[in-house]
Amino acid sequence: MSAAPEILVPGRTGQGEALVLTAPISFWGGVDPKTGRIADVRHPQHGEIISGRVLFLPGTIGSSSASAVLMELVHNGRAPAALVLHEPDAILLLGLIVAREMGWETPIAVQLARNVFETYRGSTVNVAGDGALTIAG
Amino acid sequence: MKKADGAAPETVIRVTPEMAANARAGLSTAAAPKTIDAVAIGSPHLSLAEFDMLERLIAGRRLGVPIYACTGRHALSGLEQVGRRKALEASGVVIVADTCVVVTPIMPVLSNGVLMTNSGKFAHYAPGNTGYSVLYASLADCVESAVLGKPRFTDIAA
Repeated sequence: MSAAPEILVPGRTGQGEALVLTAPISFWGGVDPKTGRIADVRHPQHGEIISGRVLFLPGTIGSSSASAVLMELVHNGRAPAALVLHEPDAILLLGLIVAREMGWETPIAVQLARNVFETYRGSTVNVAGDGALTIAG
Repeated sequence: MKKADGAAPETVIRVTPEMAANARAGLSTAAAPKTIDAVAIGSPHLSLAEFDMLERLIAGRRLGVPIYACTGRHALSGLEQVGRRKALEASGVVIVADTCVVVTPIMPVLSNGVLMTNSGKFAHYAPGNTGYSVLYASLADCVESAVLGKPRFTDIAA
């Protein structure tokens, strides 16, 4: 199946195993920028690695330093393969924009309603340059 | 319940004592530790009035584990002028100026560290950012626990 979400920040097309978060997250304090591991002990997906995954975010919370964490993930080669957000997030996605300004290759970020996230759970998902999501396997 | 314009609210949440107790318990992540490694206070940054309270609670005693006291340079200059900073440091208080222990790697890296705090923000962020598990407690219990080096709860047990 395929869906054509809106592109929030253009970037490198990505393919990876879907990681569907079931609760909103703050990247600052929630994701380790060195390892890509979800470090927030109270988050349902604590311990999962977001690096190389197509990351489905039902929502983001707080910290204005979340953008710095995402930028560091890009710099460390530990960013998600692509980001799928329920709604635009000016703080988090600023990390991609600044990383791109630094000349680093950044993953694409697209917008998709969270009520269809479950469709992709457990699948390898491809995010194309036009933002289209396809289940690859 | 109706809003002033007559529209019905989307949802009504009635906060019960049990909900508050559960939220408070959720701030602690350490499971009944026998000892603690540190106390962190000052998020938001400690005011001079809070330093007054800290000094009263310490009451000249020597701490068994450090209390990291985070504050701003303006409060700190007031403490320094009258020698209060030196007295606090002599007790075992570690003053942290213009930053805090969850933003900056100030506390030693420990594999099973336990941090006690009276700050909800520290309690939320410390496990992910410092690797320490957390006990949430009142300032008075934080100070008593720092003196003893082990958790002591006279307020609501966390």
